Amino acid sequence: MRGSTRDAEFSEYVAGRRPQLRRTAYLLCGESHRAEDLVQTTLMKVYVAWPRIHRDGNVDAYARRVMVNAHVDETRRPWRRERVGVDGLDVEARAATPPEDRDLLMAALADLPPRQRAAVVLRHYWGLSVEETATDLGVTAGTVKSQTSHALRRLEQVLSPHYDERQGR
Amino acid sequence: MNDTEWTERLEALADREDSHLFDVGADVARGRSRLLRNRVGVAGAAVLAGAVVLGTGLALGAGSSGRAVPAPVGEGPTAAATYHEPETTLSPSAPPAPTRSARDAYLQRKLDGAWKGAGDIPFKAWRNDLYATARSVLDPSGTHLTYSSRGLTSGSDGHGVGLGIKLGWSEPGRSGEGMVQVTVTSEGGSDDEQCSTTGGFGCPDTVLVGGKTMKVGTGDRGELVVLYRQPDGERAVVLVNPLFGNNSRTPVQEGFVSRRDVYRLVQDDRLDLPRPPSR
Repeated sequence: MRGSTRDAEFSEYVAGRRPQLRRTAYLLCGESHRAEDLVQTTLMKVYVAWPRIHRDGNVDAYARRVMVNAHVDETRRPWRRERVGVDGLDVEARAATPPEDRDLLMAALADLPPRQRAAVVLRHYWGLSVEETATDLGVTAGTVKSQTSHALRRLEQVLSPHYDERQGR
Repeated sequence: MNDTEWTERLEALADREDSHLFDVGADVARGRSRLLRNRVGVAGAAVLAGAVVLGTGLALGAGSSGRAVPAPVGEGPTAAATYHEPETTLSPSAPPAPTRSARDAYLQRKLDGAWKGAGDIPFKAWRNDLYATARSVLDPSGTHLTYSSRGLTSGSDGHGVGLGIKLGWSEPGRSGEGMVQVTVTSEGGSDDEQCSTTGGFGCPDTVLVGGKTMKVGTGDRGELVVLYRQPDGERAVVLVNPLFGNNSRTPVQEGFVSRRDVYRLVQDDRLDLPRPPSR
């Protein structure tokens, strides 16, 4: 494939899909700066593989798979560990009772294991079927079902008291 | 909560992310750069394989008999050189085989034991010395660098251990905070991988300063990463970021630390991993 063709097709894809990829990355990692890094990493790999994935017609699936894997890899990297010293904190602690529902949801999402989080985002943000999610994550449909079920149950456990309280139950 | 409600909540959460300002050209440029790097990696591997085959052939030819018979020269088949875009990509360099020194084993033991609580954080004296070193080079007046966290970044792989600190950088009288991260590591992997692990981007450029070679990379938001491989194989990495993302939403001015000072710091021979206590 000629470079100019690749660039034109890729540019068109980025123009159309980047906002959604960025929001997906944000849901996966919960932080704008890292979300942008994740999107850039994903799009670099998409560009490299463009002739093949464009020909096969599965660019979105490839981009999602790359993003989820990059995110999971990131969470595994020991370099991301940071031990906080005894004299203070350089990472602001999350408030115990965030005032906004969305803050609470983000905090609850952040506490999920990366794969469970990815399953929830792909199923309920991208609206993928169980089978499509399984393909993206490289696992069986049964695993997707159980991961999504575990994840939603945990989210419910965290969020329900807050919602109940707000609704005066 | 049903499926529809989950979807609505996730969409509301995702909409909070401002995702509409972006530069398509920058994405294309990064993609091209990655593609070029991959092609260089593939070409390098092919050249290496060719050299091995050629070398083996010459060695066998020389060893098979005392007399080499020249092959007849004729009109052989001709072929035009062609290039096929690789469908799969190779990493430019693979990490070396794991070898752990006693020192690395000691560091790993200390790190593993430190997960019990913040009070057990190891290497307090070492990290304070590292802070002092960074300050003496980057901020001798003591007006910019802060180390309020007293935290420690750490990592390890099958090859070694890496330790470091993150420091805040502020400009008196101005809002915002930048970051200086200093790391010393005996981990494996290529220089580029180490830079990527530290800063999120590689260090493709080679710079020679003071007779010593360093690898340098820059990020899209004014970040700078510099890596120096010490004579004993350990690597020092300094990352300078105008925004200390964990602490601030406002960046300090780009280039708040001069490259010259970063080069001096990364080459400083005080940047050394902790040593086990002598018996």
